[in-house]
Amino acid sequence: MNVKSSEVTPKEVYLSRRRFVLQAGLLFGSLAVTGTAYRWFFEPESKPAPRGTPLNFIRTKPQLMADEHLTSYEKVTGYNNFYEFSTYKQAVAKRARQMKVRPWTVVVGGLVARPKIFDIDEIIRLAPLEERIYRMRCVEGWSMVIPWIGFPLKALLDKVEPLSTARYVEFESLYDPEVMPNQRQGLWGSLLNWPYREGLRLDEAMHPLTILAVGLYGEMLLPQNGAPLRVVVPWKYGFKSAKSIVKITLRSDRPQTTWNLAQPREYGFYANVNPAVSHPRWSQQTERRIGEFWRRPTLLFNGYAEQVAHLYSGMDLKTNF
Amino acid sequence: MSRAYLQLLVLANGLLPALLLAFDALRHKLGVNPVEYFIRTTGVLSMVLLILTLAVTPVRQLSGLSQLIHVRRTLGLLSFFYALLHFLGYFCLEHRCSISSLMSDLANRHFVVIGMASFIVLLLLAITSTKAMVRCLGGRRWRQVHSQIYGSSVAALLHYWLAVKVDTDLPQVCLVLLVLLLGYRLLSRNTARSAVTVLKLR
Repeated sequence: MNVKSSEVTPKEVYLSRRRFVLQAGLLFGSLAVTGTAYRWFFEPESKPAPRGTPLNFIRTKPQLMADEHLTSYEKVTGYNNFYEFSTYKQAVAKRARQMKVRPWTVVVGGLVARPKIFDIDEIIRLAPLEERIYRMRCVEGWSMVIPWIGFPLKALLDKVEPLSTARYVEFESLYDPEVMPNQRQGLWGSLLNWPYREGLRLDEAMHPLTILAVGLYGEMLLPQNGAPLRVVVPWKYGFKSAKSIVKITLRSDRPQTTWNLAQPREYGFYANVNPAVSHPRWSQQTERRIGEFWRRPTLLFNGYAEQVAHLYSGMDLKTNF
Repeated sequence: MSRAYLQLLVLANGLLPALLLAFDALRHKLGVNPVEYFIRTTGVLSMVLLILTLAVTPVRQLSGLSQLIHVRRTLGLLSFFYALLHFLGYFCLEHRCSISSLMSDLANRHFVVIGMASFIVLLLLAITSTKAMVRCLGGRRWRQVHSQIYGSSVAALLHYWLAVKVDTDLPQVCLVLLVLLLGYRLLSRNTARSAVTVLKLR
């Protein structure tokens, strides 16, 4: 070994280089950790959902205003309020993937002449499937336009023949803590009162706009959108349209509904879309249509006033919110 | 580790989420509801940095890592930076920079007022965070002004809590941390006081 003394790195230089390498390493290492933590925690992107099974249905012309367009399939299936799975709308699709929707039965009973347990495939064949392009307005202030596939709820209710004493319809969603993580008891109890329950007045349920949906965009519903069967009530805030229904009960008294039980001051039984009636914590005057940048004005009864306003004539919509 | 290096470390890590946010926005990768994503994310980041700012003193005193004091202002300013983005997102994207629209929201919504109050305090603290300001106000008065961060943090948490529907998991975590950090200060102040009393009695 022949090393000249001039080639030996002086001790101070060696130490400062060592410090430099350490400090640079710590800086870039910490940045990698911070960046990963940020992406993991806030999850800006959702993974595209797999496609559903195609359905046969009758196509219809959309009844929308000139400036309204369908919300893309990716957005409809990637941004969902389904609290049983997650309160984070972009995480629902992934978490709901393992949900089994066959076999599936729906118990229809209560104040009816012919109570019956329907198999889901029987329900799908119960009436001709139509495409219904509806606005969907969430109580949180965002909205979509969704091409549902389904048929009027009335068709199913007529099959079981409601008694004259029946005045309300109650919907009960699936209770299965094995696949629905938020139905398990947390440290502080449950997020909401499970199973999820919603309800309508019988005349609202029989209204031709109220449908049972089994699909969207021409395909069977995916779990995140409420597979295999959900109700869609387009003039009410989204939470009224119960998903993954297992039980439909006709009653004489008004059903206790999940969000109303959780926060009665904030979520009423009627929950009709109404820009003039604020949520106690935010205004309902405008909404962000998913896919659009600026907010647009919210319409009374979500734009279906002509068809449904008569259901509430003489009612004070401020107290019956 | 030198003071400059520590500050660089904190600043770089603190600004990284903003850079990623900007990068994702330019690629249109902020998800399905980008405006909501931007407002929510900047709000949570501001809250996290506020908690980190408040953690500096207890951690420094308990661990003896006295150098940590050099990053307290950096963390506080980062928290203000994200609060500013949060406010601008809300004001410009939700209200289209319309003062009258903002005012009507303030008149009707408590949680917006509370958030705004917290933000204004952070703004004042950011303005008075320079060395010149410390000199101008005098150490004692400056500390008095800057102890308003405690009130601001409580308001920020309340604002966060009221903004979510029923899923208060994250606000609950923030509450536990804030109780610990503010409780530590109450306890250490009381111990300091009783120490003074002991001295006086002697």
